Amino acid sequence: MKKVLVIEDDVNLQEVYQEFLATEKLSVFIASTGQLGMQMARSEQPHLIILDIMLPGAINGLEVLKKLKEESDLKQIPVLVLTNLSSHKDTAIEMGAVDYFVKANLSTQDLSTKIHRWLKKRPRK
Amino acid sequence: MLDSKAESEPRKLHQVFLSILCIVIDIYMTRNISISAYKKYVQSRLKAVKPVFAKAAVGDFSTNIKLPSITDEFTELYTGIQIMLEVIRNQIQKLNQEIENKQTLTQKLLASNALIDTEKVYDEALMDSIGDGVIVTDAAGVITFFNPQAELLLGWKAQDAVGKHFFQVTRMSDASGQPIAHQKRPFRKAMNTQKKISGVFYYLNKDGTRFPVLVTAAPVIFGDYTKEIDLDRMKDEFISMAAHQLRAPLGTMRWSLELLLKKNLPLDPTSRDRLQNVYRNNLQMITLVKDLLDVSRISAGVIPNEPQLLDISPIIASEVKDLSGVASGKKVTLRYKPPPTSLPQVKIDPRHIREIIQNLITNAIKFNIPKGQVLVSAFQANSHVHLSISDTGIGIPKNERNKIFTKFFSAANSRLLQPEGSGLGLFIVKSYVDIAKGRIWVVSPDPQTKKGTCFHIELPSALAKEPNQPIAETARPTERRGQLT
Repeated sequence: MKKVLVIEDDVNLQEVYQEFLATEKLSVFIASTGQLGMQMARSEQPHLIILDIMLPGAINGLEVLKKLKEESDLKQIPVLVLTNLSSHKDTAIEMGAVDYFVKANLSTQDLSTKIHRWLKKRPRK
Repeated sequence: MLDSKAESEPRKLHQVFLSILCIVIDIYMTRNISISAYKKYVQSRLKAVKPVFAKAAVGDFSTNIKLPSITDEFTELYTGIQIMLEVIRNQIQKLNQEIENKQTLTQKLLASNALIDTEKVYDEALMDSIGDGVIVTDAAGVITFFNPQAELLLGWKAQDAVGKHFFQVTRMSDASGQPIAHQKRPFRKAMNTQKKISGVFYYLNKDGTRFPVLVTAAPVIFGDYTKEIDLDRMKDEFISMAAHQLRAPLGTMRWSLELLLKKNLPLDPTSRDRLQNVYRNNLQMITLVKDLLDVSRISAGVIPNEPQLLDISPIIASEVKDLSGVASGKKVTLRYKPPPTSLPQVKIDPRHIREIIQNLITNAIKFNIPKGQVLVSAFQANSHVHLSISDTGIGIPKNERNKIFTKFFSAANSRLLQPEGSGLGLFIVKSYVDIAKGRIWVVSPDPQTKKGTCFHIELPSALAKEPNQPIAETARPTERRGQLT
């Protein structure tokens, strides 16, 4: 079963991700802060990371993305940015995110398509 | 003064009259030798004039002399006195009339003076208390009036400003701080054209501080516009913040509802309908939030724009395909008539062209009638690509056609059909067309079908030598046209 790490602080949305990714037959790991996300990425080596931008704590989503791309073990993991902000797309893509979407503008059906596309493209152990 | 003069005139006449009378009587009596015999006669003859004289002595000349039956020397005298009485009476009447006229005139003068004073006080109070700066100059541009608000805004004292030339006191610049040449200033333009000129500019205070002003030069009236600009910015920031805050819960709701609907829960038809309804409303709110954010970005001039050279035909085809479900749900036929030859490429942000097409087709479906039609077509028109979206719907009232591209505007008949419409769609469409240096206009009813509405868009293609140049006015229909700029 492929592993997806979701770095998202909204508790309601965490539950939705949990249910949704389970129906997609994926193993889900959830982190509420950027720091926890980095730790889980290192320990779980997920196949895909779903990353929010506005996160509580010391580092925001863009800083997490920067750190992920700096670590040789993690930089190959595709990062899909899903946020409520529409203004950081260029920055995120430049920093190495594979895609960037405003959550409310994306249907679960489209999200499913995107996730499977990136999982197939980047098969990991 | 007039009254005492009026009184003295009849008194003088009365004295003159009495003097003459005494002389006449004296002469008459001295000529008589037999004084005692004649005395009695005279006394009896003078009886008739006694009451007249008694009254005349107190200024009353209204009594006439009763002429005696006998005719003698006295008769002539009485007739003379009678004539004199009448002359005096006429004179008094004339004088009284004159006095009356003068009194009326004086009253009128006093009244109008009072009115002038009141108006002057009122005008001064108005000019002093008005929130706008008011400067009045003579024809040569020399300041003749400078109100307190102008003092406050420009940092000049009225006593220093009055007498100076307008341009010495008011210095103007554009948004970037570049000074505006005298001949381009509203004041000079208004002077030259004799017309009222208005616009938003920047004035420099005496100490060099720059502030936005809404200038009306007729004489020149300007108001501090800082507050309005700040309010407008705050409004956009508020909309942006509110929309971002709304997005998060709406997104969570959307995904939750999609998961719920996908589960095929054992719901009765009413509950399922309700759930569907909640989902539709959720999507509508997401669209509204997206539109609000787009509008606030357009207003702030920070809308992302990444133009690419595109063939818009496949984009139209894909949008038409995507919206065919919505059209069939409304029992509307949606058709795309592709161009006979391939279209030249257009330089536009792909997100913008998708939004334009999506928005116009959605409107054409929403405001259509059952069994109505929507026809989308695209073709090359000289160096431009012409896109049209025509429908058989309710049309746009003639008096509202020029407002449809403004923010938050919904035509009266469209509000009846779609009261929840935000009135932002066409504003966004027009903004994107403007960004691509294109043109949009509306024709309603569509002359082809004699009903509904037809939106036309012309986008400069890569073939256009000067895509910045607007296309010739004659290339477009000239009747029943909406906003063209």
